[in-house]
Amino acid sequence: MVMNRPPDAGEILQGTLDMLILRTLVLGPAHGHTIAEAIERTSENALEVEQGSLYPALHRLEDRGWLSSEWGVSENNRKAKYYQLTSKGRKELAAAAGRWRRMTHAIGLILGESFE
Amino acid sequence: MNARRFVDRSRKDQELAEEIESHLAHERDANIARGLAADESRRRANVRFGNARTTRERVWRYRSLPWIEDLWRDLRFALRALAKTPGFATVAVLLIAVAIGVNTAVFSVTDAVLLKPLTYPDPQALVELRNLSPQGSFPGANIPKFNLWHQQTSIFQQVPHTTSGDRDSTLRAVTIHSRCREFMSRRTISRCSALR
Repeated sequence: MVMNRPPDAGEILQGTLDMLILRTLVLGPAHGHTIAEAIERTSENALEVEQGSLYPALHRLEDRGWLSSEWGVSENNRKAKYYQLTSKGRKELAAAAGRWRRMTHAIGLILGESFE
Repeated sequence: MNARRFVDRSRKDQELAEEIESHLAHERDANIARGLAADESRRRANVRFGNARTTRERVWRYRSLPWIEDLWRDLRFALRALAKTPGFATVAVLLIAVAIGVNTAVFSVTDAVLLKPLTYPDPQALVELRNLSPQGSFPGANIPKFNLWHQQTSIFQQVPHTTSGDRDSTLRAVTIHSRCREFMSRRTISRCSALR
């Protein structure tokens, strides 16, 4: 349980959770709990993965063929379903990251560099 | 849309339940590692995850075509409700049947009288000659008047007449000419044309 969350901790923007999951899985196969933890830790707790959304997203991504899954045994010696990035998922990640960068760049241009 | 999404829902739901259970177990482990008591770690894990059933329902919903299932459920509900009150159902069915029958009959008449073209060549060229006066317009003519119409008008191909049936028959003139496109009530024509 993360109690020391920054006050401006945000929910993940709609539509970006898929991309974050794909990015996390570049590092290797992982199960849902690890994925959520990795996203939160890597974002320095600025992002909170709403756990009720995580599993629907994982199932959606698997249906689209971007992830594959198999049951395994976790580091805690517990049963867990491991998700792995497919080559299709890798392509999608590249495309989504490109879209995201263009979008943030455009928004950055509008807000201006020195805006305080 | 991917077809994989809709198949094998029960097994996938079962798997999701196990997956959520596994997630909660890992969260509990993490909490225990932070030094929480077993009860508290379980509680916090559950609180953090939220309602597992809601998540399963969300995925189930995503794997279904809601409007088809809703439609199916509505249909079954309607049939059950009707079966529960057979008397009302019978009356309703009969009422609808009668209403449809009456509607069909009325439309058949309307169609025959108003909508279908008359069974004459070029029915649009049929006109009825009427008298105009400050009191309004009315049909009918006596015989001399009809003869005048019959002889003097050159724009009509033919000026036949019908009688209204009375002995001292008032004549009604029906004229036919292809150049004359004046619109008039077809019902009037059909009444007149039988006696052409």
